[in-house]
Order: sequence, then structure tokens, then C-alpha cells
Amino acid sequence: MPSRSGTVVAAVERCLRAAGGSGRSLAGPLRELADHHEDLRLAALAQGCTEAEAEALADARLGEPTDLARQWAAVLRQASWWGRHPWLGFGILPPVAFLLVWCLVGAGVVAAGGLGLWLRHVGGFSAGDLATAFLAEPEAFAEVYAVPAGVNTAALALVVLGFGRLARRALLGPRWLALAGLVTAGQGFFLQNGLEPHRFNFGYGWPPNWAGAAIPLLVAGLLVAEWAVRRRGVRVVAGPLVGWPLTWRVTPTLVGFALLAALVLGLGLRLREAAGRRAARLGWLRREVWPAERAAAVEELRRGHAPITRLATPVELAPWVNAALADSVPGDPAGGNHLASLPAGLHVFAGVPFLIDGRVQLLGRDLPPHFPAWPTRVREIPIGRHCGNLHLLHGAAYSAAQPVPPGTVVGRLVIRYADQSTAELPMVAGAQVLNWWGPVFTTEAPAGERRPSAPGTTLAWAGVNPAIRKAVPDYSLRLYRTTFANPHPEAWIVSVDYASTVTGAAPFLLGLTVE
Amino acid sequence: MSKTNPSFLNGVPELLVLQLLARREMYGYEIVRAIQEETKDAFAFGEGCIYPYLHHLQAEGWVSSRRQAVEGRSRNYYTLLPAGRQRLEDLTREWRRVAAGIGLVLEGGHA
Repeated sequence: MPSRSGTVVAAVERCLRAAGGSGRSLAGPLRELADHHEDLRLAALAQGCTEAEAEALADARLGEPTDLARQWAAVLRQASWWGRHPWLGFGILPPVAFLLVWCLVGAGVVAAGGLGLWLRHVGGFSAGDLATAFLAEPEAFAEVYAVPAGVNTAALALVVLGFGRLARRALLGPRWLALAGLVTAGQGFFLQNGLEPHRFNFGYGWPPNWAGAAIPLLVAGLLVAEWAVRRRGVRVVAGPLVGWPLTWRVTPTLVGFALLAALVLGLGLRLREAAGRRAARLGWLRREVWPAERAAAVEELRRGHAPITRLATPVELAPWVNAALADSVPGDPAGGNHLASLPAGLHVFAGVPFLIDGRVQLLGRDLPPHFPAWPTRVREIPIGRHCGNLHLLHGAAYSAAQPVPPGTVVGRLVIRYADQSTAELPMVAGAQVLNWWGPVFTTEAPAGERRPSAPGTTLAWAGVNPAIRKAVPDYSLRLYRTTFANPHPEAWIVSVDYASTVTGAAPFLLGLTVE
Repeated sequence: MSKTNPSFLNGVPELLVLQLLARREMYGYEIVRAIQEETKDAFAFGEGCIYPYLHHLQAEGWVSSRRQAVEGRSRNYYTLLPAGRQRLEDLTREWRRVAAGIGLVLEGGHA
């Protein structure tokens, strides 16, 4: 005989579906209820009831649909990990899930985008060709720079959608979905990432990312609204099971979570204490130590080195100058990152006279290469003589996003001799050059930041500009004099090239003197 | 008959169901009938609420279930597991302790 489920079972099913129950999870419970209803109905018929009376009696004995649905909802919630650990699942895990989803979406977009760019720009598959095309003409790949924002949007929305689905399947009610939405919105609020030529950053920071906060809230709001529409006219079944013995149970997850929380709290307290000590020491260094050391270094530079050459000939670099001393480094949105305080004209720095007309700025990975004036190499600066030494007044702007490990060759001076031979003189990070933003004090200065290690290189000038005053007031602008011995002093030098190796350091030349 | 007080009877349905299943495996309708007959209708409840209890006991690992066809009907039979037997012993001991305490109060009131 076919089972007849009755109105109570149908009502229970309606309530559970409105609460988010899915077909598979409800099939078993509803089947048992329907079987029980059928047993009750058959028993009533056996006692002489009419069909209608038997149906009504079975419905009445089965129970109040809302109570049954509430009890089933509680059991189904407890049956899922998400239902047992909603604070952990919807309060802690969304940020972790976001990172995972971001990577997956990003990988998908990169794969699809790479294919599209290949089809559009290269025409034959080669990762090297693609990289070359991108480096040669990065402005033609403008669509690439919108990718992180798109990935952010997709990942934030997918996380909220995913946790919304989990909350619904666990019959947890929209408040847990709202919590996941809020947590994700908080994460999106501080999310900072972007793509520029030669630079990608991903992290958290300030100013706030309003779009990152709005997207999860919008998606969560839509899901809650959709949930409310589904439940319209159906009694709410969320809430604890009536009559259920409520006891705290120590589960491995709860213990693990408590231990983790204690560990994080303890670590946080220790870090806070250490940070307090460090802040106090930093204050003392800033007030008393570093200003004195900086003043002493500047005074020593002002007094000047003893001349190391009397036969030097400064080279006229004006034809190759591509930035005035007062020009700010491109890409610095605040401006003011310049060398305006460096005196132009003929001056002696670190014992060598240099003729300063401006900056010969070369390209690094972090400098926007769509400025056509920034080359990776300037060629054939005429020398036209024999010489024993070549002196450079130079520096390098290091990227904040692209580390420049010591030992990295950041540029080269290429000597072209009359016999067509060449000699390359490498400029090595840490040896001939350091970041032009750095300490001139010595106490607690990072070991690799104090002075270049090459014997022919010394600090030639230190100063400040508005950008460094604002961003890192403890630091100074630093320029170095490097003296290279000509490997072939007997050969006639026709010209020299100044070349960047396009690393995280963007080298620049201010003066060149030969002797 | 009035509805039973759910909070006062916390744990009682569990005790009854486990006790019945300790005798033999049963399906939901059988369990409800047995409770009503053996308690002489002392408890009035929506019979459908037995299933959430059974699924809870199953989730706790105290009972197991298997579906079996009987007389053309498919029944879900529940069996007590060793952990459920231990739970039954604990609940029984606790119930006897509470009942003895209540008995002492009642006897004191009549004295």
C-alpha cells in the first residue's frame, strides 16, 4: 500500500526547506515521519475510523509540525561540523577561506588571461616571448592591471556565497551568514592589493578599501533577503531543541580552539610587551642618538674629503640627463621625492670634482616603465681619452616591493675601447651602492645599510627631501662616489654606456669624472 | 492528559528509548507504542518527535540503524550499541538517585 504522508509531514518538510534543509538531508527524516504517519493511519482504520478520521487522527498524533521541524532542525544542525562550531566556522574561517579562494580565482584568471594575451599580443606560445612583450610595452597590457580588483570582487562574493550555502545546509539561520558576511567585509575593508608594471602587492593596510567592504555586505544582504522571502509564511524553526538536555561537552575541536586562543593571547601579550620596550628604545634613539650621529656625518661630508685626484676631468652628462634634480621620482603619488637640495654645477664630492646637470635615471622593476624617458641603458657617453680611473657620483632607488639582496648587480658601466673591445664594471648592491633612502647614523642601523663594502666607494652626499621627511624622518638621502680602476689603462676609451639590469633597484647617475 | 513538562523531563525520553532498545531492536512506531503501553500513557507527546531523539542517539554513537523490508513496508530498525549500554547504565543510576531523593522528600512530607 502506498504511503500517505499527511499534512503534518508536508508542513514539517515545508518548514525545514524554508530553514535551508536540502533534499538529501531531509529525505531520511521525512521518510520515517511518513512511515509513522502511515502506521498511525492504518491503526486508526483498523479501529473502524473512516479514511478522513484516520488521516486526521494520524496527523494529530504525529505532533505539531513546527515543534517537529524545530527538533529536526536542532538534530540536523548538530549532525554537521558547521552546526556544532558556528563561531569557529563563520567567525574565524571566512578570512582563511578568502585567501584560498583568492588564489584559486587568481590562478584561473591568470591562466585565462595569459592565454588571451598570448592570442592577442604574441601569436605563438612562449612564456619568454610573453614576458618580453610585456616588458617592452607594458602600457599595451592595460587590462592586466584591473585583474586584482576583479579577483577581489569575485573572491569576496564567492566566500560569502559559499558560507551562505554552508549556513543554509546546516540549518543555522541567516545570522551566521550575516556574521560570515561581516567578517569578510572587515577583511575586505583592509584588503590592499594592486598590480602595476613590474609590481604586485597583496596585503592589508590603510586607507580603507570601501569596495572590499561593500561587496560582502551586499552579497550577504541579498542572501538574507532571499532567505526571508523563502521563509515568508512559514514559521521559523531555528532555535534550540525543546526539552533537549543542554550540557557543555568538551570536544577535541573545542579544546584545540581554546588552546589556540590561549596561545594567540599569550603570544599577543608577549609581543605587546616587546613592542613597548622597543618603542621606548626607539624613542630614545630618535631623540638623542640618531640626530647627533646624523649631524656628525653631514658635518664630516661638509668638511670634505682630501682630494683624491688632481687630474680629473668631469664628463658633461647634460645630453643624457632625463630628470632634473627637482623632479620627483615617478610613481610617488605624494611627490617631493627629489634631489633638489643637491647643488648643481661643478662641485667636489668625496674628493672628486663632478659636473652635475641633473639625473641620468635608469629603469628598475618598480619604476613605471610607461614613462618613455626612463631607459634601461644610456649609450656612448663620449670619453675620448686614456684614463686610469673612472669616478661616479651615483645612487639607486630601491623598490619597496622588490627586494634587492646584497650582491645583486643593479647596473653596469660598460667601457668601449678604440679597438672595439669592451669592459664591464658592475655596480653591486651592498658593495658600490645602497638604497638612496637609508640611515647615515650607525647605532642600530641594519648591518647591510650602514655603508657600501667596496673599498672604492664612499658616502659622498647626504640630504633630505619632503618625501623622506614625511615617510621616514630618521633616514637621509644618500649618494655615493665610486671609483673604478680602468682594467685597460693603456687603451683609448671611446665612450661608456651606463646600464641598468632592471632589478628592484633603479640606478641613477649624477656625475662622471675620468682621470 | 496534560502535556509533560519538557525541561523537567530532560533525559527521560533518552532513558526510555535506550531501555527499550536494550531488550531488542525496534523501529520508531514500535518504540512509541511500547512507551505508551508500558507507561500506561503517562507521557503525552507528538509521536513524530521520537525520530529526532533517535537520530541524536545515533549521532552520539549509542544506537545504530538499518533499513529492512517487513511485510511490504520498509522499516528503520534501531539497535543499542555498547556505548549506548554504558550510557543507559549511567542514566539509570542517575535516575534512581534522583528518584530516591524525591522519594525521601515525599516521605518526609507525609511524616
